[in-house]
Amino acid sequence: MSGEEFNNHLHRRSFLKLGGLFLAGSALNACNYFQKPDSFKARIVGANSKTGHLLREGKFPEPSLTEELDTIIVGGGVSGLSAARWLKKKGIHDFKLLELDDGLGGNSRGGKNSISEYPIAAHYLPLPNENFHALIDFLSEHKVITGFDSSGLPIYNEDHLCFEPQERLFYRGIWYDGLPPKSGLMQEDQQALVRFLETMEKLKTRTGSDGLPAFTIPLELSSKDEEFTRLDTMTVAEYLERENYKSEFLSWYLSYCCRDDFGTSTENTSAWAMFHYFVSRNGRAANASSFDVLVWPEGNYFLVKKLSKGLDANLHTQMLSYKVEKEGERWSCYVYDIRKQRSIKYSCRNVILCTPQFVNKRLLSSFPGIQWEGFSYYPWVVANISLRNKKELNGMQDLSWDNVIFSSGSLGYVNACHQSFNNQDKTVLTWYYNFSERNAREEREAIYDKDEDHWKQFVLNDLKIAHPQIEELIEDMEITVLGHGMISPCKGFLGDPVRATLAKGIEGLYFAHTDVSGVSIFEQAFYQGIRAAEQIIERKGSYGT
Amino acid sequence: MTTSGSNRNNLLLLLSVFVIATCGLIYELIAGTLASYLLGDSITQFSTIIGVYLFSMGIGSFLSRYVQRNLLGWFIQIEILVGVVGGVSSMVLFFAFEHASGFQIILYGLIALTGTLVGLEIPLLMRILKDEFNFSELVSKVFTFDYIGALFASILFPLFMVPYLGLLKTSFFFGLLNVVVAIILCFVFGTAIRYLNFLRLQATLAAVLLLLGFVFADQIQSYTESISYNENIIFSKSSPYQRIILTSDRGVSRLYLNHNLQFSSADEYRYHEALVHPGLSRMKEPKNVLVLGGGDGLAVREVLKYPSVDSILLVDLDAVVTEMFSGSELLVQLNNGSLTNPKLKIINADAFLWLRENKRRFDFIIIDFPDPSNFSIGKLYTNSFYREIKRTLKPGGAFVVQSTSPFVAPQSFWCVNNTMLSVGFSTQPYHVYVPSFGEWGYVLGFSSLPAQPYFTPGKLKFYDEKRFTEMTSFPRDMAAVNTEINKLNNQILIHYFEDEWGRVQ
Ligand SMILES: Cc1cc2nc3c(=O)[nH]c(=O)nc-3n(C[C@H](O)[C@H](O)[C@H](O)COP(=O)(O)OP(=O)(O)OC[C@H]3O[C@@H](n4cnc5c(N)ncnc54)[C@H](O)[C@@H]3O)c2cc1C
Repeated sequence: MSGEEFNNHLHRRSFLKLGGLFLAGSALNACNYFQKPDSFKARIVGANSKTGHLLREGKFPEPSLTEELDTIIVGGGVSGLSAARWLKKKGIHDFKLLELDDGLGGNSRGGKNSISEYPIAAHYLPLPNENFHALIDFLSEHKVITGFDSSGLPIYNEDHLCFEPQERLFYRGIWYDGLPPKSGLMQEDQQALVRFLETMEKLKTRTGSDGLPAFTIPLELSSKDEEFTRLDTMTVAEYLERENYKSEFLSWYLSYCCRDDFGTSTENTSAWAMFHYFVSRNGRAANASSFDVLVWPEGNYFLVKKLSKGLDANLHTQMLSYKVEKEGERWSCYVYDIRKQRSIKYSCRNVILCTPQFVNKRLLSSFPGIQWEGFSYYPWVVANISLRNKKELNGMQDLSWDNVIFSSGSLGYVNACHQSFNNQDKTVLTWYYNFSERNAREEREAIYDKDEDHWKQFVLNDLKIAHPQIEELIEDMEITVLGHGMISPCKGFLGDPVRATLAKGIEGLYFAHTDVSGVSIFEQAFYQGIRAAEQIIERKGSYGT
Repeated sequence: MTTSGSNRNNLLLLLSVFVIATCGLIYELIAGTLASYLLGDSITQFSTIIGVYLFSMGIGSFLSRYVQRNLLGWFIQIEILVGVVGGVSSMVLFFAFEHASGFQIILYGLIALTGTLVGLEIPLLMRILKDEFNFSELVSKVFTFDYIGALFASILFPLFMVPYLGLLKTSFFFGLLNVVVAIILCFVFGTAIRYLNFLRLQATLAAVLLLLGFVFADQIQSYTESISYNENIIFSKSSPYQRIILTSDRGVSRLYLNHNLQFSSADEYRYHEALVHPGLSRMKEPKNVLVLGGGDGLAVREVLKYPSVDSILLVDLDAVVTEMFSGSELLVQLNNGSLTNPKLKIINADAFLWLRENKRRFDFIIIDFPDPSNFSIGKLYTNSFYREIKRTLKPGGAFVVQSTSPFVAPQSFWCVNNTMLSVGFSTQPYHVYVPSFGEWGYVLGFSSLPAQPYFTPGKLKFYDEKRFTEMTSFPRDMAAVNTEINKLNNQILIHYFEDEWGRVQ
């Protein structure tokens, strides 16, 4: 209850009477102005790049063992797991999935500490479109969708729908609710934003001359009508220029979106891809709007765990594939077992490569005729930051799930404990940075030899824009450097014929990694895994089981 | 003086540098902390305070040239002054904030004074010691002690002083330390000092004053609090979740959580009778009752008036509140000792988490949470929460939710009602006039509710069946309005609540 006697005067006074704990916390801050207390130490985690080196050097022992089986899946990210799940679902058991890392998930893996689970990269899933039945079924299987209402709309488990406050933006010194913010923009910026979003909104109901929706997920089912595909011949920056958008805020916002979703700048991103991002998501629900997203403390690792369910016997980690070759009718997949330090040759009828094309290029180096040049990946750095007290980050104001800082190079941070019901002060923030000012190779070279102290300062400098006192609130910082983040759909990617080749597969060799589609999202990985599994099932029809 | 004696004395003087440096920095930190709290914007506060402090130290050093004779006497005199000024500084600032309009003038005045006095000390001391050491050794020694003192203070302050002593005691304590050093110096150097007796007297008085301040710091603190309440504070405590203050004025006690009034003993019976009886009296032979929130035991007091009830479970987040209402004599009088009744079990937990895990079912559930003024409390008013309640009710059971004022905040009130409806309950909204709060609202949720009560306890102060008819009729200025449903992914209720109460305040 809030009594009528409550008044502002008291409110101001409340500072005076805050408890000892609160004062102590602030006194700690105070002292920092004179002498830095022992600051936390940042750590770089993830062995991925080390094992990656092994692959580049290519020095592996000769296989000491040959095994025959029907299908090998290389790569235990979402696409690989989705393929495995589908095979199993369709009654195919004679397969192995090989993952080089010691855990599954790839760019959707998660971590855990004494405070909470947290994402390492992918952290949300928008509501799937109504006609994406495979995904809706999967979500229903695992109670993310709990049922359907009388008109057939899915009812989502409200524990997984992102709680309010969902997003906020630190803009000109203040946190504004929403992204783009619901208030606080200058008039020209507001007008440009509205104009842009209305253009996108209108396209949601458009179909092309081929009867297909202008933009949809899976991306392959979008219209091929020139009217839309033409957008692939220009970058986002060029599109904005052409449409005479002058708003600084809008260019910032779109640049934020491109970096966040495509891992590269508006100067590189294909305008078609950006349209796809804004137009293709129309998920409907009985108890949510299409702007709602599904989130979990551990991010999309939640979905990875669900995908892997029941597959234990088929999933093998710390297995590095280093060569894939055709031998007569069969494929040979050479694998280095990191644990046992020996090589194995798998002789199989089918291989699904769920590894990115910069890896496939090496695996298939003896296999001519594939043009790999069109695939570009910019580096990312992710910091998982354990906070002692989230309440002191900015006084009484609650954290949102996603918190973005306008005048910063980063993409902001998400709060792992956002969906929790307990009142603990601690939390883990996952902070993202995409390096795409220069070309990808230069960016990669620039960050590879940086040590934890460099990243610690880098992350702190960024966060201090909005949270000057954050350093004292941090207990731990775990840095993950992703040399090749996600695939970037650069200008012209749609028209690149190599994608069609890979999507079709080559006599028992199939490609399912998200980069084949050019857009790195869970939905694509999920869909492409199923597509590859279906391709195998179809092929099996021709050679029998 | 013998050589070894003079060595010892020199060391003593150097140690006093250490104490002065420590104390000086502590006073500065106290001022900075207080200013950040009272005025906000800690960066500005700290930088201006540091600036003024350092600048005044410069003034002090400059002024030291005018002290020509009786250096040791002056040194001790200043030491006493630093002790007194610094020692009482936090008390002065607390009071100044409550009373004076020129808080900032007093704040910076105190900083400047402390800075000047501390600034005087080091040059004086160097001159006192100039014949004892060669110059470079002297400078190195004095400054070493000075800086170690500063380091010591900056570590001690946040880690030990503030958490364990609080600001008031900390400043009295260090003031006392300054003065004690002065007293020791008086004794050790004795005859070398002029006006010795005068200094001794001063130092003793100062020590007594500061000691008294230290001992009565809590009383001083609560006095400064009571000024803003215009009532006597008889209990005040901070739990990890909130600041709890209980006041008493002409026989009426009031409980404030985070400065929001929770109840006044003058009329809380209206609130609590209205909370419990309309619903519970309609239950047939209720046995198990669950109370969520309501750690004051006042709702439990009402529930205990039903002889059929054999077990009550109270789930409240804050152990400090439930302990206070189980133990304090005055409060036990208010709730009739309900919290120590053998039929009651208390669990200190977050209601949402607890409810999720819970497998027991209840005949009647009373939900008495604070108003939905932030996102964490807002969660406890969502459809997801009421779904958990549904799972927790026995067939035929009912629950009641305190749901803010339908007069001040109609959207908020009806939003609670509509959210309960949305998960498949039928509802009976009602309201009552509680003088301390004004018109207050509740919503009963159930699948069926008898029109007539089975049993209403006798001897209630306010509630009876006639009241029920009145309470359930809503005049036009509180009539139902359409609202959205409060969900975890929109938390619309806290927006309504903020809007509506914001207009009032
Ligand atoms: C920083 C970041 C944030 C993201 N956020 C989101 C998000 O919020 N939502 C979203 O939907 N998507 C997000 N994504 C995209 C995410 O990548 C996809 O959703 C999805 O996880 C991609 O799955 P995948 O299977 O295609 O590829 P990957 O995750 O890249 O999986 C490839 C797997 O192959 C393994 N591998 C590589 N080489 C070998 C080898 N030689 N032998 C064996 N195994 C090998 C790798 O270890 C890895 O596990 C994000 C990506 C990044 C980089």
